[in-house]
Parts: sequence; structure tokens; C-alpha cells
Amino acid sequence: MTIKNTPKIQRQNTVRTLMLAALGAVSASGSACGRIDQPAPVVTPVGSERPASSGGNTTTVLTTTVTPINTNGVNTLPTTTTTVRTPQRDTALLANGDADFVAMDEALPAIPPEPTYDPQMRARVLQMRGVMAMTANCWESSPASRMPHVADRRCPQWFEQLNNGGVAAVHAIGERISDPTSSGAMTSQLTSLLENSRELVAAQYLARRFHRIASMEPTQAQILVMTEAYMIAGFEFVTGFPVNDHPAWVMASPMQLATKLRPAFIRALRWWHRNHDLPEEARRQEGEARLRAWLTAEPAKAVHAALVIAGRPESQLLRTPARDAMELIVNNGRSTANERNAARSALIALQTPVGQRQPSPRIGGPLQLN
Amino acid sequence: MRRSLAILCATTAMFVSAAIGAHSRGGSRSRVLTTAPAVLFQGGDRPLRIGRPAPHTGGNRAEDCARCHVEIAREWQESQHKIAWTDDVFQAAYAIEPMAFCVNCHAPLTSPTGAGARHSPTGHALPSGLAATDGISCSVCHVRDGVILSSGNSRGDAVRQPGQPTPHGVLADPRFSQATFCAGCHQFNFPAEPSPGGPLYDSHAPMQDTFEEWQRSAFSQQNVHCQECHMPWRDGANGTRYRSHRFLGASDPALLSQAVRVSATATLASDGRTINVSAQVVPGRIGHAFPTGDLFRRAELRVWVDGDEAHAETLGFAREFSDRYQRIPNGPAGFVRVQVSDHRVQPPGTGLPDNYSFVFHTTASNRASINATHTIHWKLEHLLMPTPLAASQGFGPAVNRRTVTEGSVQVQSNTPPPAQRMHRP
Repeated sequence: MTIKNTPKIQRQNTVRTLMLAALGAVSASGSACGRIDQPAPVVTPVGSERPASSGGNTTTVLTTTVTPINTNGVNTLPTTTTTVRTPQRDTALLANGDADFVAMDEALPAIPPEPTYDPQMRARVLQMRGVMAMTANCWESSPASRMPHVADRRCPQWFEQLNNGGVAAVHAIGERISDPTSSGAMTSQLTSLLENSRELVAAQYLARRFHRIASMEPTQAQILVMTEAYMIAGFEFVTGFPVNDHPAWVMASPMQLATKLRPAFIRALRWWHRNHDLPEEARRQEGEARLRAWLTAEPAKAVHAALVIAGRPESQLLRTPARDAMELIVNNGRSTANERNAARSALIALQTPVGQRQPSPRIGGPLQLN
Repeated sequence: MRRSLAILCATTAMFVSAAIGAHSRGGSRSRVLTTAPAVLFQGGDRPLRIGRPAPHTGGNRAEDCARCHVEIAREWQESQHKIAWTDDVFQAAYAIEPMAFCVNCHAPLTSPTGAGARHSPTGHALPSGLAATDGISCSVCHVRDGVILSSGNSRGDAVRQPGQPTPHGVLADPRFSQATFCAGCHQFNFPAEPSPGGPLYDSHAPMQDTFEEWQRSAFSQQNVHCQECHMPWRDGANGTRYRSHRFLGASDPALLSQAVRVSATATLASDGRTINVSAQVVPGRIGHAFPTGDLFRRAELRVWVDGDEAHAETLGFAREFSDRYQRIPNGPAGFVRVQVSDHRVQPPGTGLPDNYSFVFHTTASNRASINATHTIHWKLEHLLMPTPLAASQGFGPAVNRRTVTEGSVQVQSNTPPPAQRMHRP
């Protein structure tokens, strides 16, 4: 049996089910979701009050894919499978700040405009482009490698130049990363350099990359690119960027993967359109509001976000709110033992400076017993 | 941690004294042993030096031990420790990243000097002879500078003639019964070893985190150490009792099947076209995350309807990494591989509950389809590495995949559709 759905149909399904989740219309048994011919619920505009749920456990729709039920020779039309994850206690308490994380329509948001720069910066950008060109062979890394490698002893100095190159380097890197066919170690490494710049225009380049990827037909050849981009989308890219629902889906089949990833890009793009021109303090507040919302509605997502924040130097602004959120989970009588344990782990991570994890017994030398 | 190590150290001293006393009183002809080395393993940071063989043992080779310790040697022959260096999967990985770091743990008896010594193009020693073929053999754990170390808990498995004294003394070392012993090789960070392009690794992030996973687990709180599962007690001949030296792990189907439990329920929605599947994935008899160990390890849960496994929903469990450019503590700036997410099954007592729901839906409109009895199948598999990577290295599913658990559940009807009610007796 082959999957016959077109990507368009899949996208539609995704959007509908995500909307259901956001509105608390999905019950614990999931009995209300999965219908592609179900009328779309009323969508509450961003910033307005959401309908209250009936309370109790609810589920969050993660994504959708297409899996017809095998009816043993009976004709089966293209069908939809929706994958949902529990637990979620009170969807009604989702804050307005979470609205960007629900794709409300199937249409891709507009592509962010191509960044421009002051003509006076042109010489500097050209210089950085030259450095980028020099690094052409630096990014090669076998997918089987356990560690990042560089091919040339001069690579580190080029990396350092790009890392210290300011906004000019961001333009040089951004032009390269906007190419949706680039993949491999290069993608995450270049993105890391963009993040380090803390320049807002860096997010614009990444958003353009997401748009181009989300526009592509999900072919086998694009899976690697999509996977990497999805991982990046899961990061808090420049303060406030959306945190992924569950990156575990990257091991799904190519078609499933493509269907699951697209909403992540749409969420990221929606976030960018809404927040890219906000000042840093406003983005911090937005991120903090989202953490609070998750804290109540989806502690698992709050813990995941806290762990992401703990591991990222550019997330300094959110470390304190994340720490407060984790302490609330630990001290909340309604938290389950597992939630408290997970929150404690996140607290430890948040209290440890990035890159300063304490050595385990094997770190830095042999196991010492005295 | 430091306090527990101090306690452990004090306990060690107590056991060592007791062991010395026992051997003295026993009047064996073995030499009186004095103390165990404070450091048993150098990890991947440097080669292991076990020193001279113990007197009267014939040498540090596994075959020397096997003359008396027949059963244990037979078990070890079948273990992953024996093939630590020669294993095809390891060799494929080493071919891509040939580092001394790998050799130091997978062939710890490699000698940089002497007859037959070989060296890699980057200068580190390569194993040859028994150092390669025997991998992690008896003396790697049990011999240090002419002293035989052991937990002191077993009731001897050695085969010897009646009346013949023990040919060597044994120094009881409580570390052999504890997780810290295993941490010597199974807990380590990304190596600080420079790559051909420069020193770009951060040695502050865990590459394998099994010991620390155990420390967080309920097993640690209950004082259940690695040896309980991976080296279970065996009853040998003549009333002997010793721990298994097969070093059971993911390659052992029985142990693997206990690691994680999956349960599922499936209901048919009232429309007769939608099947809601709720799957719960919880840790079983396991004292660490699942899967654990190498950063390429992962697990996949596949769920499908009836015989349509080709279109199964797949959910992965793995650690995910990304390269980030940052200042390495006390070092230069560089790209560092950092873990960005961990969605494995967490050890008992930690992590968040893993409940997943899958919804399968058909738009089939004919009655035969609606009335059909459907079955939901699931299978959880352990993978050594991602499937594309395995394929690129020439490893098929037979090598890469092992079934952890599988099952099926009949789809229950919440509200039977009218057609179904008509046919009820």
C-alpha cells in the first residue's frame, strides 16, 4: 500500500489538529481528533481569551501524518493519522504567548525580506564572504563522526574571524545558510556562529531558511536538511525562539518526517513575524510568559525549555525565569514525582554555567578515590 | 559525591585489612598483599598499565587465567568485552575516527613498545596479538602490579586438585561490586584529544553518561549496582558461586527484553473510522536511560494497524547533538558537540512519563471496512546507530536492530456502529 496523500492534504490535517489541541478540544482518549473532514473549530485570535476546557487531563497534538488503515483488499482512500502526546493538564491555561506555537492555517507565512545592509559595510561583508569561501572544506564531517572535526589547521582561525566578524559576518554566513540545500555539519555550525552574533538580522536569515525548506516538496533528498533545520528550530534562537515539541520524530519515515516537521517551521516563522522587531526586554517577557504558561499547562514542555535554556549562552535572559519555573514545579504539590525529578535535573543544569559542567569521575583524569 | 567517595575509600581500607588477615590466617603460600591501587582505570585519557603478573599465575594472558577459572573464562569468551577491539561495528567507527582515546578502552593492554608494537599514522600505539584479539581480558580488571584484585564476595570458581593451595592471593576490593568500577570505562566525556585540524574538543560534556544516569536512578537510591544485572550471580560446580562474566548487555535478548515495558490500548471511535492508540513506554528492570552508552544508540517504537507494518508510525528515543562554537574552558574557542535534547526512556525514578497516542484514521466508506476487526501492533527496537548510518557502513538490520519488546492489542469498540449491533446474537 502506498501513501497517496498530497503534501497539501497533510498540511491541512496538521493545521486542523493543532488547532484542536490549542483549544482544548482533544480529550485524553483522543476521540475528537484525527478527522480530516471535521469542521474547523473557531480560532481565537492571538491575544484574546481562550475557551476554557472542561478540566482534567487533555492531550497535546504533536503532529500528523498519513497512514491508511489496511483493510485487507478493501478500497481505502487516503487517510490521516494524528499523533498526540500526553499529559497536559489544563489547556485552557495556555497563555497568549503560546499562540505562535500553534499553526492556525496551512499557508506559509510570508518569507522574511532579504536582509539589507548599509553600503558602507559592503567592503567588510565582502571580506567576510572571502573568509566564508576559505572555509569551504572546513565543514566536512562524516555523519558517523562522534566529534566535530576540521579538515585544515587554518580552519579555527577562520571560524574565529567569522565569530568575531559582527554583523558583516552575519550577512556573509546568512547568505550561505539561506541556501536550503546546504546540509551536514555546516548547517549547525554556521547557525551556531549566527546565534553567537546576537544580531537580530541573524534570525531573519534563519527564518528565510525555514521558509524555503517549508516550501519544498518533502523528498527523500531533503530529509537531512529538514531534520537539521528542525533541530535548530527547537533551539531558542536569539532569545524567545520557539522550543520544539518533541524532536524524537526525526526518526520517523521520510514522509512522516516531512509532515511532522513542516508545522515546526511554520511556528518558527510565525514567531519571527510577530517578534522579530521587539526589543530584547519585550522578547524576554514574551519568553517568560510562555514559560509560565507551559508551567501550568505542560510541565514537560517547561522542563524541556529550561534544559534548552540551560545549555545556551545566548539564553541568559531566560535563565532566571526558567529557574523560578523549575522551583515551582519542584515545590508544587500537584507535580508528579517524575516531574519534580525532571525539574530538579533542569535546576542543576541551570545552576551550572554553560560549558562548565562539573567533571564526572572520568573527566580530566582517572577515577580518584581519595 | 566526594563524601561518598571518602566513605568508599574508608570501606576499601577496611576490606583490604580483612583480606590481608584472611590470607595470613589461611596459611596459603600466596604472598601477603598490602594495598589496592587508588586508581584502577586511566580511562581513555591514557593507556592502562597493569604491571607485572601475579606470582604463580603464569602471566597476564586470558589463557593463563583460563587454566583454573574455566567457567568464567568460557563466559568471557562469549562476552562483548572479549571482542571490544575486534567487533565489526567498533572497527567501522574506529576507521572513521582513529584515536588513541578509543584504543585505551577497547584494547587496554596495547603496548607502545616491545616486539610487534604498531603505531597509527597519528602516532598512538595500536594493539596487536592478544591485546587486539582479547580486548578487555581478565587482567584488565583483576591485575595491578602483581596483585590479583577481586570483589572477595565469590565462593571461588577455580578448578584445582584437591589439597592444592590457591596459587595466588586475592585482594578483596569492594569497588569490584560497585558502579564506580564500571564508570572507569562506561562514563566519559568527549575527549580532549586534538583532531588533525586542531584542539577543538570540549572535554566537559559527557559522551557516554551511563554512570551518571545510574546515579540519578532509583537503582542507585536502592543501592543496586551495575553488577546486579550485568554480572548476575551464577552457581558453579561444587558449591561455588560467582558473578557471570558474560557482561550481559543490549546484545543479550533476555536482559534487553526486561529493559523497557510498552503497553497499549486501542479504541475505535464512534465514527468507526478512527482508531485511537494510547501507548505507554516505561523503564523496566534497568538502572540507566534506555538506550545508553554510545551517542549513536537509539530505540524506535513502531506502531501499525493490522498487517501494514510498512506504514508504521515511528517514534524515536535518542540523544541529539549539535555543534556549537564556544570558548572551551581553559582552552581556545572552537566547535563543541553538545547535547541539545535527550528523549530516551529515562531511568526509573527520573524523567517524565512517556505516554504517546497515535490516531489511525480511514475514510473508507464501505461497511466491510468499518466492521473489520482491527489489531494494533507495536514493536520497540534497540538500534546501534541510525538506520542511514548503518546502511552507509554496511550493517543491515540483523546487526543494527534488536527487538526489545513487541505486542499487539485488539481494537476495542467504544460505541459500536449500528451495522455491528445488527449482527449481534
